[in-house]
Amino acid sequence: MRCRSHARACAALATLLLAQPALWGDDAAAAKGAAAAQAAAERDARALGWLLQQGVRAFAAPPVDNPPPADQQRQQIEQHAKQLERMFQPVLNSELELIRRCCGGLEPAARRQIMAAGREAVAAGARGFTERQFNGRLGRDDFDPRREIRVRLEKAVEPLAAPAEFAAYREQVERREARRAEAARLSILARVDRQLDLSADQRRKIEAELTRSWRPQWTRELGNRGDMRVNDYPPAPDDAADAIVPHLAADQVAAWEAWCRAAGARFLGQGFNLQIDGQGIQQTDPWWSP
Amino acid sequence: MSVVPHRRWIARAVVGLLAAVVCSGIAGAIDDDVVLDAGPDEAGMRQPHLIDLGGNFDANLFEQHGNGWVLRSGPGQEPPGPRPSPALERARELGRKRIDRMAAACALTAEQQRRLALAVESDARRFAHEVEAIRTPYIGRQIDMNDQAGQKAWHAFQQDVAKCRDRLRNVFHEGSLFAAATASILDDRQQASLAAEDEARRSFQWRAMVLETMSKLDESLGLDQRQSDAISAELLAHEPPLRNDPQALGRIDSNMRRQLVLMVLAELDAKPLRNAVSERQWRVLSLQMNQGRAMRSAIEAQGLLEKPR
Repeated sequence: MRCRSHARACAALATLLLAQPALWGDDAAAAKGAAAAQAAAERDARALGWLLQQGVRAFAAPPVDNPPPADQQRQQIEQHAKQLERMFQPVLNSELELIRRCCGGLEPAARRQIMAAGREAVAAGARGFTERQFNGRLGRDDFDPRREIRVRLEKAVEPLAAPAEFAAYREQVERREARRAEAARLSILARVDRQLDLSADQRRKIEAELTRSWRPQWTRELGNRGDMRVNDYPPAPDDAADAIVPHLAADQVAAWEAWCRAAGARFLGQGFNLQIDGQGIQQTDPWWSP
Repeated sequence: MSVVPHRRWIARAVVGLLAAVVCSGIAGAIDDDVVLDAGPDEAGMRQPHLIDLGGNFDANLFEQHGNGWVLRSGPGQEPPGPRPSPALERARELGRKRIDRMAAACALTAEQQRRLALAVESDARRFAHEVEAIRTPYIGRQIDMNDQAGQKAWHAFQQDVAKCRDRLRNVFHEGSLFAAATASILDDRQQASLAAEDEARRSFQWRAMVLETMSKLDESLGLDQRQSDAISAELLAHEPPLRNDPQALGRIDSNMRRQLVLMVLAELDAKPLRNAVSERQWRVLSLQMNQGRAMRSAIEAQGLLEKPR
């Protein structure tokens, strides 16, 4: 884009310069009237100065891909986020399902309040997601619309539910996180097993080590990231190397190193395990709108 | 007046210099805007309807994971003349990996490894010979996909590649010299170790698939621990006959793994599952199970399950 603006400025400058009879014409024609030549020279000097200024600006300006005006972008984000809310709705519905199972004693007024908070949470999740899409920041921070919705719901439920019911809900949330962590560990291990042919004993040791040194960011392995092929390899879970490598045999270490060189996951960036595919409970439970 | 021409010459020089800068700027700018694409793909871009079946044969048999198809367009880039098939090397490599895995599982002696390597070589050569017979007629053959005859030829080509893919999946399987030799070369203790190792790997891979899918169901259904335990227990108790060689397992993507688990779930008695979840959850779960059920033929075609004996 910057090159095109350079080209336009340069082309205009060249056209003006090449069209100067006072400069390119013969001496006789140029000497017809000193006053006229003086006026023309002054006019051209002003034009030349302006063009040079524009040209210099064009060269000095940072590359900008014609950013749309702020209002226009904001409008686009809002429109897109609105459309996306439909995809996030099942996330809300499934969380409400779990809340209902744990907090069945919620009063009708409380349910309405939670439902309203849920709708706001969906809108906030969709907006946060869309903003990152538009700004090219998607996957560059730890924003997760699913978590956004759940955290907001949890905050809404806490003051409205009986303490015992809220504690039961919290316990289920923690257990779900634990299940997710176990699934992620096994997902990492299964990929290593497919690639390096681990023995049963190696799998046991590595699984124990992954549990001991668990890192929450490993849950991104649960997305479809493992389906990628990089240099004909699946991504190597090299951010879990400390838990894996000490339990490999020498030939497996060599294969692991080659794998990491060819397709190390750390080179793939943080990634974004979203997979918001709109699957889930589609219809909102009428229990929430008494 | 006499200085005017002199000044004009200076001005001409300045302008000439500026014009040179300007023109080079324009040229540079134009260069930046043009994306030049050369090399082998150039022909493909010019004639995307022309397909070289010889080149596509190896790409689809050896470079493609799963049952997908890659279609490399454009006339063939290969020099004329026969080109050796990578079939023999690929089969040898798979055989070597098998022996390494067996050696790690049941401590093979050097003599046992030598005899197994001979069996691998024999199977690999037989496989390469069979593949070559199918592949050779396609070498140097170019079809036009805009033409009905070309489309028909592509369809026949796909069937032939699928046949070779299936053969590759089973190159050291039942009916191979390697399978027969393994039974006679390994002693009872080694065979038991190998079977136990295979069983452990199969169970582990199934457990990983189940937990991965349960995590997805957690997301879509809002399961509590009791519900999750009930569904997981049913699935873990009904392990399918997974092919557990890395070649088969490496081909499965996360969606196919999920569909496989849902297929198994769909083929279980629905009553306990139905009782474990709410009406709202069941509506979603039964829909997903139906999707899994419908995937059986695709899952079998991928060679993910052992064939029933």
